[in-house]
Amino acid sequence: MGGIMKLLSKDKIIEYLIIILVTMGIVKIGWTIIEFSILDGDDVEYHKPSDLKSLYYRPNFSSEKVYKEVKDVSRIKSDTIHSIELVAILYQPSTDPIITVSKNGKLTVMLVGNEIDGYILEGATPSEAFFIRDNKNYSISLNQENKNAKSIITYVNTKPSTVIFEDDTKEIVSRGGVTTIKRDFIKKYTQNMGNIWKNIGINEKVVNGNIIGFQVNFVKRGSDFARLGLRRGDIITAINGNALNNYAKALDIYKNINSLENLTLTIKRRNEEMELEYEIR
Amino acid sequence: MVKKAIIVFIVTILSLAIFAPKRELYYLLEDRLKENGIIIHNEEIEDGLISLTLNHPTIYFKGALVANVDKIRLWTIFFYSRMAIGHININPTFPNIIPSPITKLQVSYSLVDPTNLSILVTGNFEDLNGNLSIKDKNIHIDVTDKKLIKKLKSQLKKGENGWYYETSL
Repeated sequence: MGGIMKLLSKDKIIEYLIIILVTMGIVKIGWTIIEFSILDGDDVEYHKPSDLKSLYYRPNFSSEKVYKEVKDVSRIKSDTIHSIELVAILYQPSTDPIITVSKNGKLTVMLVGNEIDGYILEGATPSEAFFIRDNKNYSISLNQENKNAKSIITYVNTKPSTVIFEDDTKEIVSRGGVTTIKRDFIKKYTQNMGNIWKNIGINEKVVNGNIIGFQVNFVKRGSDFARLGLRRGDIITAINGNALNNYAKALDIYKNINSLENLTLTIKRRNEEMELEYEIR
Repeated sequence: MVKKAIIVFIVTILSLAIFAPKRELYYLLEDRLKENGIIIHNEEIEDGLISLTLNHPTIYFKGALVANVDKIRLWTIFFYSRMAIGHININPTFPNIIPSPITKLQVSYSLVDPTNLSILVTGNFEDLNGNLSIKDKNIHIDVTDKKLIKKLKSQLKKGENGWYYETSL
């Protein structure tokens, strides 16, 4: 210290101190100007989207109930009712089906449990209605030749005409427009995400800076995902009614998929919106 | 005169670091990160003389919880800046996407190499070295750990110098 003092006179020290203080002052003023003119931001925090519906927003997913009823009835050999014509089926996975039948030209709307000519409506698939009378089972199919006959369903199956009856050994089974997936099949993919990306490529679809869904870039031919009905170019816009507008929702579903019993994918295919319905067992 | 210039230079550099409105600069960084879908949430901000420490933040990427972090330390002295992230607990949803556990992730920037940020990841695997190219807007990380290669193979590419991860920003 003494050495430095010898080298620097008192005036020199004061001069250097002034230089240091002035420099510090200029920098401080510079930062202050920048702070008030440019850096006026605030802490950014994550806000959970308020429109996030619960994954289980349809807890009473009655399609399962209906499906069970339908399955129980349809598995038993049934006779066809010829005296009544099935005109339409309103099939909604979330509610009991509603059918319209015609008898002698008179239209009747029926709910599950309603009776016509002693036939009690038990349930329906998008293409067939099931009745019970005197402990015997009966069914009526939609008359495909009748142009007025229609089945109104809330989902669109890629191949509605293909109905494959349940085979317990298969992981994916399509029946009556509803695709049933075995839970083991889901586990195969949730336990190793790498298995997913080998078979399907999915990327976020961004429009005007916002994610509007997740686009399928490729689907391996013959893969499980192809069997699920997904095609290249499809944009998955919602799952179980939750719009997929951020990664959180996609991951929520991925995390909870093992506990889900039903899955509805809303997709855009060639600008047409459609739904793929799956039942997980 | 030379002495005075040296003093002015040193004092300027130190003052720039000491008087920097660190919180406000951090908020600016948060805004920039937010534009890229990254949100640092619920952090306790601690000011240091030339650093800023964020304690126990949660990292979200495009709305998804990616990781809980013990500490993020931001440090700059004008020509050299460094961000060190300690003890990253990755969301269990990503075990096969992001290597885990990560004990330290360090991103540094030097004016010597102004177009690149260097990346160093340490954890229960061989260190990962890489860089973020500002010019090409991409991230390149070399992966040498055999277990990690096996685990992340679907996301890696193989080049002349071995396996690597690459993504564009």
